[in-house]
Amino acid sequence: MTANFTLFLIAVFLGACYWGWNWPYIAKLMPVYVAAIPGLILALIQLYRDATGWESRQGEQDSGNEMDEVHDVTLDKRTELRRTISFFAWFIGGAVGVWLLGIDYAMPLLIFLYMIVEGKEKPVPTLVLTTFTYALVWGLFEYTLEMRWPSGLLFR
Amino acid sequence: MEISLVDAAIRGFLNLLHLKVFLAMLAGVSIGTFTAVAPQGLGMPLVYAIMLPIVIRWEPVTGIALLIGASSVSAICAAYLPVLFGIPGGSGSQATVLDGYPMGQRGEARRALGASFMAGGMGSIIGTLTLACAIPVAKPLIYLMGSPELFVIVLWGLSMVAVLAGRRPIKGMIAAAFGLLLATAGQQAQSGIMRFVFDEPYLLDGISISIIALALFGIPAALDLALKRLGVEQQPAPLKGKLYDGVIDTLREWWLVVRCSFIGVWVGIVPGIGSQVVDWLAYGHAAQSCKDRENFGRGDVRGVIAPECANDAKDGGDLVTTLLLGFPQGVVTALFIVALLGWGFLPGPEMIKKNADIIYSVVWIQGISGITGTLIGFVLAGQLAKLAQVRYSIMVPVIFIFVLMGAFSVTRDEADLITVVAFGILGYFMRLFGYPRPAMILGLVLGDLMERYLYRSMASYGFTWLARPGVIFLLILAATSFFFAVRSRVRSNARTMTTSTPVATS
Amino acid sequence: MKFQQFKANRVSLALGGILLITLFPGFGWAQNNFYAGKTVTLVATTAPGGTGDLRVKAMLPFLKKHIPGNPTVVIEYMDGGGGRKGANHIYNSARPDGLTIGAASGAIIGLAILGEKGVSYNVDKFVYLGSPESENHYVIYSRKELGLNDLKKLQATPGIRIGAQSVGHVSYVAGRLFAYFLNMKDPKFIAGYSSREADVALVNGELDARANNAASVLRRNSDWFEKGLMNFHSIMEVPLGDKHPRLGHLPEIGAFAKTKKEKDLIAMWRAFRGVGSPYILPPGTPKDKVEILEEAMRKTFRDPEFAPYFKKLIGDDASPMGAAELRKVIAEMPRDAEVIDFLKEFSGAAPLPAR
Repeated sequence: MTANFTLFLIAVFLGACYWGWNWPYIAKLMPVYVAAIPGLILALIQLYRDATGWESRQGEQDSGNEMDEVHDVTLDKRTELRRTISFFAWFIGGAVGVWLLGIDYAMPLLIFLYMIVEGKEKPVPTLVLTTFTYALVWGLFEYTLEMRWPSGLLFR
Repeated sequence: MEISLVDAAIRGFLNLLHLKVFLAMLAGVSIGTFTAVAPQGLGMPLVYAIMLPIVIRWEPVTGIALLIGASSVSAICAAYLPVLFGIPGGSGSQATVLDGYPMGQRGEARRALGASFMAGGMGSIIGTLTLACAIPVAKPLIYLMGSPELFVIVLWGLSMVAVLAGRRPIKGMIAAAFGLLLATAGQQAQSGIMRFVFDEPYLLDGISISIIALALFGIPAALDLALKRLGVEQQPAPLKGKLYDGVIDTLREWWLVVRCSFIGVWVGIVPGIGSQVVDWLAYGHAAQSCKDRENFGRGDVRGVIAPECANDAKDGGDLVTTLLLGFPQGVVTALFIVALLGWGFLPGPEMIKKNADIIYSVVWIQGISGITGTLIGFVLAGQLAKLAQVRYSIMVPVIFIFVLMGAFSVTRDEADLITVVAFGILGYFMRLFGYPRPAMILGLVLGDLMERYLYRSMASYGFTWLARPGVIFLLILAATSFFFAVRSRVRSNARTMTTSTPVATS
Repeated sequence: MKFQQFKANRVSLALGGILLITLFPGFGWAQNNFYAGKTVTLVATTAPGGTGDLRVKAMLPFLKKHIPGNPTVVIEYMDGGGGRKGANHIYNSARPDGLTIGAASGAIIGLAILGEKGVSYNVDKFVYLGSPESENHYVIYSRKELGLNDLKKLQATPGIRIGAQSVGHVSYVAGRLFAYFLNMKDPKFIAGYSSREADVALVNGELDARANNAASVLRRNSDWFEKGLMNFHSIMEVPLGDKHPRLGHLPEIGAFAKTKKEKDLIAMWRAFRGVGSPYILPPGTPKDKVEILEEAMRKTFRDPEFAPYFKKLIGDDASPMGAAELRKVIAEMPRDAEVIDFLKEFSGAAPLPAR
């Protein structure tokens, strides 16, 4: 799986080289020569490491800190996959909701549905937070500051 | 009428001794605190644009108190979102998430917030003192740095990838290269060539760094909560520690505060570097220079102190160029100049000569607001820290709201939604497969600057810019800093190899 | 004239009035009350919170005051593509019901006429209400240390480094036009500076010259002019004939045009700059609503509080242009393909055309 992500990055760097190759030097210097080509070389090295399990062999021998959060969830794979997919479904659903309904309606609806359906929260705190969300999105921006959000596709 | 600077400082203080001014400052501080915790759609530029038509009719000092009160506090209180929700704060408070959020997850939210407010307050005071002292000497400082010097400094900043990559140097460099590549999307200023635009008007101005940072950090943080079902299946770490612990941490790290504050002041003074860089530069410097840095990126309080004090000190630096030269450093200072013009002041050398007392009123307001904001932060933080304990079923949709609203408010285009989803997914995979996201963000924020400064240097000077004394001096500094970082890593590697290799006995 | 005839005859006047209301129900009572209780949306082609936003906000209270019925006026931000996104929306998506007004940037006119990508509107079909700004003089100046205190020295000095924001930006094109018409020798155009960075670069010697909006230069750096820290060489008057109070003595760029093509080029560029920040309605907006809004704009511009408020908020003087005048400017804009191609040579990064 790690190798798949590295392959994705390789594809991005290759794509950058391809699209940028015919640009004049001034436009090509940074994206192709400074970013894409060195990135591609490094990604190929990393691909080799991923394919040969280099990192698991190195283990604790490599010093330095983890400068970013480490994925340390200890669920069984199936549950983790199911919850991850569910999470992104809600997130993408929220984004689609903004596109279709407009942010005024989508945000309160998102919070309401997530809390009730996914979180199985009680109705009262759900409604309180939903109302607060609507007050923030519509009340603060549209009503108080008179700044209109764009309408959703269904309301245009 | 010209008066001595000491008289101006005294008069500037006396200007504040009116109830109206004090109330305006309080109102500004409240507004600033609110915007710090509100979704990014309500940032300080928008607040200024809304307040300007109102304050322009007020007495100048009263209006200044409101505007400066709001902007000085907004930066101090910006740590709430990174510490409690894992969402990068506004421009200048993104790096705080790297250590602030893990601290919050460990139950040390109060300590993290206490450290951030104390650091912010100290940074604000250092920035204000610099502003006060810079009045006679600011001009030569500002004009000292040209494109060649700025290029070397940005290059030095990029070398911090070596630090931000941590124990994954190859992946870190790949992430940085990816960030550099993303930074080139859009119409290139120097040539007009459309790079990676694919005939999409949305991409003409490139991809928004705010959206990328929000999605890259906010979504994986929310996912973590959802996976663990925090508050339901897995209980959050109990709240421990006090705000006071964070205060003590900051006082103990006073030398780090001073160094990072000066980084912030300098970023504020020099035109062009931008506020999106200041926290990363300070964080990278801290991670590079501090001893016992194994916990950076995993909840080291110094990883909160460094970016927060730099971000707040930067406001003082911004005001140096704004007031003393009339050069705005960003949208907020540009709007502040508009307000000053509306009140009949001309920022720059004329203002120093004729209205030095007003300049000092700004200095005093900046300092007093910083202290007030810090105190308000302490008052609120105790209760707000409990938000880190809230269960996932409430936190996750709240984070969704912040991320989606913050992203959509950038250009209010549907493509913002596609961007935020795409980078949210990318952030997940980067974290899953160990590609350091800070390195990518560093490449993203510095990439455009690096390209512009290099181009401008070559276009103006040819290769002769390499022989400029400032460039040589900065190159030596940058090389030294990089050398020590690499040497430290090599030694650390050698130590690890020694301790892990069984000692042969014979 | 007809009304003057009826003035003495009040019965005839009353009968005439009844006839008018019967034939044209949009007038009279209905006219004054259409906007009462409604919300007018100002679609701003600028980002919220910037100085462009302030320019729109400067109009807001006056529109609220002068549109009969005092409707609520809200702003919807649609920045992107140099104004194209908002203009496309007004043209294609906004309902032509008089409740949506576009507060556009002047760039949308030039972008359309130059045939740039991403334009899906026709500038001749918008309904124009006017613009709060129409004066837009540009000047070129160089650092005093170069000693270029007359045109001959300017023309004799090779390799002058002229700074600008980005290729295609107004200041970039203006700089190239000045360089061409003033016959500067092998000028070098260096883009990638923000406005404030360019000022600093000029002072510390990284740049030699710059073209910029006259009001902007004098507002930010009045000592450059007053103390002679910069040498000012030429001005582009927008509109032509409108003398700048302090820089009006500079030679006008049009005086250097030799051929008809060159004169048309300057006329086209002047026209692009001269539209200011036009307020527009979607095509097909009913005439009665157009007249109400045009009148509201006229009253706004004539409101004695408007000019001082605009100046206070923006820092520049208002120089309003009414609907008819704006329509005239746009209708009379040169559209020759040859001139358009010629102008495009100045907005790109290729070397200047030979003269």
